[in-house]
Amino acid sequence: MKKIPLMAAAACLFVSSLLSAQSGGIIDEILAENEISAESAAYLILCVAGEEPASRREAMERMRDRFARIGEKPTVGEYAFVLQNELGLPRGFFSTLFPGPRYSFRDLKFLGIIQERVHPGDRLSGERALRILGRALEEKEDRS
Amino acid sequence: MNRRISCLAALLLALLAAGPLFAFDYGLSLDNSSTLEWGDSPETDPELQRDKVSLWGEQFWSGAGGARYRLLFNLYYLYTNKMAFLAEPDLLEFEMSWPDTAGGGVLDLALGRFRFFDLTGIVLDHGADGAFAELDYSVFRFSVGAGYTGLHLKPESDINMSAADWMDDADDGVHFAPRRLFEILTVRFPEIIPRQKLSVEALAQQDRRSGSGGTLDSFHTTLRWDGAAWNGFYHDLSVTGAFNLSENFQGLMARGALRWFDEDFYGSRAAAEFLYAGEDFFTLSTPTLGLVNNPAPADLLRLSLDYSIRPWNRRFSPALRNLAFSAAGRLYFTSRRAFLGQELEGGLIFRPSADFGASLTAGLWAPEGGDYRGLVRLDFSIGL
Repeated sequence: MKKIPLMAAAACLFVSSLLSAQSGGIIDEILAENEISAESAAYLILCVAGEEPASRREAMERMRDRFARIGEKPTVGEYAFVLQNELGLPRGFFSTLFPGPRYSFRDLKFLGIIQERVHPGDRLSGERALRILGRALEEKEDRS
Repeated sequence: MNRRISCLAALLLALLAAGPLFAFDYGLSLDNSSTLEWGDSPETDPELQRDKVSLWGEQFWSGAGGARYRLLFNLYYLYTNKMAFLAEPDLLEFEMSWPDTAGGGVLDLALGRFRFFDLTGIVLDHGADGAFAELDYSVFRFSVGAGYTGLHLKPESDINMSAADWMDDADDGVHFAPRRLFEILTVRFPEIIPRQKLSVEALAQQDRRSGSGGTLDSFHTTLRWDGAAWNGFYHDLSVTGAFNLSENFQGLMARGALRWFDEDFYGSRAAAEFLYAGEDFFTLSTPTLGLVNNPAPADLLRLSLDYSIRPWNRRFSPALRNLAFSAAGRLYFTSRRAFLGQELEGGLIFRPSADFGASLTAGLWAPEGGDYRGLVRLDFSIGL
């Protein structure tokens, strides 16, 4: 059995609490991804936005315009960019002027949502994506 | 020559082959600092206005087996009321990190120009050109490094150990920092008591000044014990011996701090600290021991209390959450406990977003039997 680090498990629990039972299997598959796919990232983001899609493909169809400039395997910066837009996370001055992955990464790092020693161009594992998502939701809850 | 070109071509090909794993980040930061002073400054021409533009870049990529590589640079352009301009790279570093090396440790290597620190942060905190290697087994850490300060431009260097260094500092014809070579070796021992770290360090320094006489070779050794004391409290104790090998004298410095952190109590941070430095103690670089009064750490006893609070921590927008207030009080004595004076400091730090920060700091120095001196400083920082 694959060991999931404690923080990832906590983030998984937090995110899972917002999802229905049927999505549990998909979340397990996403957690096992070494490099998260754009479809999986779209699925996670739609789930926490309360618009749970039936499959990852459907999630991608619904978010195609928001993933338009993002490749099949989003980087940490690209994931931060989509997450910031979808969850309405706070922006810095230059992120407002020039929206893009580079400034979104810095904003999320500043907010403590991205805590790992990563770079905006790094590939993202499913486990790390879930951890970042968990902290982003906490930040959103703190502000609401 | 052909061999060099072949090596470069091979390196370029290797880098291109790893193209998909590459990522480059860069940015520009602008820093402005304005100072207003009252009273008689010990400096004849104090620095009151400082503008700095820095261009930084970071290239990173991953290798086999979880290895990571980074190339970093920071090139700055500085303008102050004391000098027209100064441009220099203060960071030009190639970093490598290999996990699972030599029996499960993480090996970090750094080459180029970067900052070196000693265990206390008082004896050495300065940029140098050199190399640094660290082997970290989590419970046991070993590091070794060597650096040369003579290629740094003088105005931004604060290495003034000998009379010859001070003479060069005042001479406009000398453009580079004192030519000093140092080697540093640090060992952090396994924790016998949980969360208690014991470290030892040796720091040797050789004066590479040409010509005979006036040179100063030195050796510093530090023993440090730091760790968690109890809930939210942390201690840090160290003893450092300084040995002047050229003139055969030695000095001692002892330092102790008790720090308290409580994120739940408005992000509070407090520290009580003492610093004792004997008459013959000396350092490699010049530390900052006070905002207005900044004495050298020699023949000195300093007692200080610091406190900072973020009243809106975890409340409201990030702008208010990162608004911090700080206050500090410092008492200065000679090493034989003759009172020298006291300093009060206050500050306000505002960092609303990742790309903007500002701070306002003020200090008042009240010497024993002398005139008061004051200082107010306003700093802005913008990151693009």
